Amino acid sequence: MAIIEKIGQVLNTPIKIKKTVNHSSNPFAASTFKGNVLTADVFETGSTRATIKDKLKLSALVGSINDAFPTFRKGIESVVAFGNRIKGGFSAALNKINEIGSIDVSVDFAGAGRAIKSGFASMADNYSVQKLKKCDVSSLENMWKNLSELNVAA
Amino acid sequence: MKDNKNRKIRNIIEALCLHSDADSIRVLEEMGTNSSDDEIRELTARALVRKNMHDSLAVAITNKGKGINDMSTVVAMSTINELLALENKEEALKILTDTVDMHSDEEVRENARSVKALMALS
Repeated sequence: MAIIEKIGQVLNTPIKIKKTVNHSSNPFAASTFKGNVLTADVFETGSTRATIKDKLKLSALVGSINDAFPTFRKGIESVVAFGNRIKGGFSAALNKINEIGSIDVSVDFAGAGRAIKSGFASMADNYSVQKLKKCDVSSLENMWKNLSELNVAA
Repeated sequence: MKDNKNRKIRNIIEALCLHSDADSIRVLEEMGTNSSDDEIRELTARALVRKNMHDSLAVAITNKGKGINDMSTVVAMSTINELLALENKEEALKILTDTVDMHSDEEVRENARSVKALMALS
């Protein structure tokens, strides 16, 4: 019986919406729910005053924000999961680098330089097979004879 | 210094091997197979085989002291390997058969017979 009376009292009590405590133009202030009661006229300028109807609408808006919050949380969680995946990938990459590191990978600039030099040398070399192929047989014979004579002299 | 000269000669031999002029066989035979340098004789014999022409194969197969009949085992074996590596062995087998049947030198005939047997197996 007492409970029914209490319920009756509750139902008869008009909705009370706390008046503006702090005027803020920051719309994101609504998302800070740390125990504070959301002010009804948070999106209003100080001069305009909300009617009861408007306040009810805004209360509904707050409820919808609360309902939507799990979605935000889910989104945040997916961002965290994404971050973890990136972190995991990066760790794997680091491990790979460490593995490669044990093989002792090095960049041989001297070798590369020699290779380039030898490439230029072969281009400039009159005795490369590519160039010799274009010579006639008698020229090749003369070249060979000259080299043989040099060999004998050496 | 000598390495550089040998490299040049090696390239000349390679160029003569690729040359379409039949006179390249004469140059290879005169300059290469008569060389005192084993390496040059080896390269020349291989080049003659790779040309895979009747005259070039004849030099490497039928001449005493050249190609498969060279006094140097390395030169002889390299020539035999080159013969075995030929894609088209028809001309080489024909020359080997003629050498086995008709060559005047017993040693050359024996060598030709052995190489022919190897080529038949490969």
